[in-house]
Amino acid sequence: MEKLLEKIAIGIMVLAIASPVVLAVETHTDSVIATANVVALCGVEASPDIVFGDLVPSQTSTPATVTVTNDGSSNTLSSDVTVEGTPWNDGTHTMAIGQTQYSEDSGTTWAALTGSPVTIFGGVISAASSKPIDFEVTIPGNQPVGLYSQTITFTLSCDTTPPQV
Amino acid sequence: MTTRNSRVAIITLPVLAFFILFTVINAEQSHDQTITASTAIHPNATVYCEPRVVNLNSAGYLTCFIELEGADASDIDVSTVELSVKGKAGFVNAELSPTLIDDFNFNGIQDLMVEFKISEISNNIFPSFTTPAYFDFVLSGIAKGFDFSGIDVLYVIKPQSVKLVRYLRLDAKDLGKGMLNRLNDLDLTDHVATFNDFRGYFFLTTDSKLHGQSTFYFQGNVKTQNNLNFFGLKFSRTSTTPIRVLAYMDKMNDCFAFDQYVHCDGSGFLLIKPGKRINLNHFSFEIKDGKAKIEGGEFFNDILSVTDAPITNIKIKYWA
Repeated sequence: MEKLLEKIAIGIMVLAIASPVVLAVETHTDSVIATANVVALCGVEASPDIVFGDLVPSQTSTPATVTVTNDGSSNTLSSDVTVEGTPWNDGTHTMAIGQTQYSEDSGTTWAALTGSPVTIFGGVISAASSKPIDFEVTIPGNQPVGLYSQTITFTLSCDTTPPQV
Repeated sequence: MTTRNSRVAIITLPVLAFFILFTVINAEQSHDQTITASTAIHPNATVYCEPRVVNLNSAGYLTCFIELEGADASDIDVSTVELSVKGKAGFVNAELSPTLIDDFNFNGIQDLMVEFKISEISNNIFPSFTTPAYFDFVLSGIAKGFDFSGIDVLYVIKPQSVKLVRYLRLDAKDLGKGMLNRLNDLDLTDHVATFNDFRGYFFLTTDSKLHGQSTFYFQGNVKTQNNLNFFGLKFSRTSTTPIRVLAYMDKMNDCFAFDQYVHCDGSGFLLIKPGKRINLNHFSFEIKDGKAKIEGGEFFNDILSVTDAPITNIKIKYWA
């Protein structure tokens, strides 16, 4: 019996030592004022992957449209949207990033894709809305044959001063 | 105890709230989404075929040259090369031999030469030919695992047989520089040449009985540079050497004429003075639009190639 009581006492001591905060939260009675900013959520989706298909050197592909969506939760969210790319690669040969061009106005004007982030859509894409962007690629003359791919990254940066609630 | 726990809570809750807020803010500040762009780059093929007029009665060959961009001519799997014609059913496989890789059009890029039997073109693609016309000849194949195709536009005829064709050109005219493209053992990088004479005939009863001969005579000057090494001292001497070239086609395998167009395939030899006699296993000439193209070599134009030789005064006579 004494041993049992001893074990119970040790268990209570361990519990008390191991969870003082829990016990404290559970047991405190003083009032604490806490404030929190509710951050406007944002996120970006881009689809679909681009398949330019079969091309030959010196040929320009037909444009492919990618839809960029801000799937954030705040309608008033302001943001910065950028695009950048990696060099084309087939495992053996490479092709310059800038062979890919993008257009925000359905092909009226084109800009070369770069390896550094470049702002698109005027830097703003409203939450829960989408914008299209066209891409095309021009194959340089004498580019070796192969199956090439390139990664294009869209980045959406949220406003750092979200509204307080 | 309660007071102590309250103090702990007062300290820990704001800290926890800060870390939660910090984490949330940073997680939502920047979002990335990547997509993948892909493309399969195939060879771009440029195709050129001779003769430019395809006589479906011919027992000869259509010789085609394939030049690729994005791959080398040596990458082409000859067994995959085939010929078709837009708007027509059927195709013809390239002959596996002879083939040759060389820079036939002198642009610094290697070409693959392949041949197609014209009899197969006639049977497989033009089984019911009626009216002479231009057609898109499509050559396709595979290089480095990627398919390619190129188009050449050729005129297709099926002429009635003629018995005798005679052609003469008498007055000499200068050839522009570079027209005499290639002669083995002679540096023709800087030369002037005159196209002196061109004459010949062929007598045709059927495709299997073809007789005649054709001669082409050129003369000019070739600038050559001789490098001398005299006990370690290097000297360079440039000299001008007059040459005379006689190309003689004495065996005709496939010749036909249509209006003012004449085409002949055969063999012969080349006499270069000073120089030597060179056999031309392949020798062909074509007269079209007032100009002659004369080519010869082991396979095609690997020894002799004269293009755009002016023959405006040529007279082509037919005896039916």
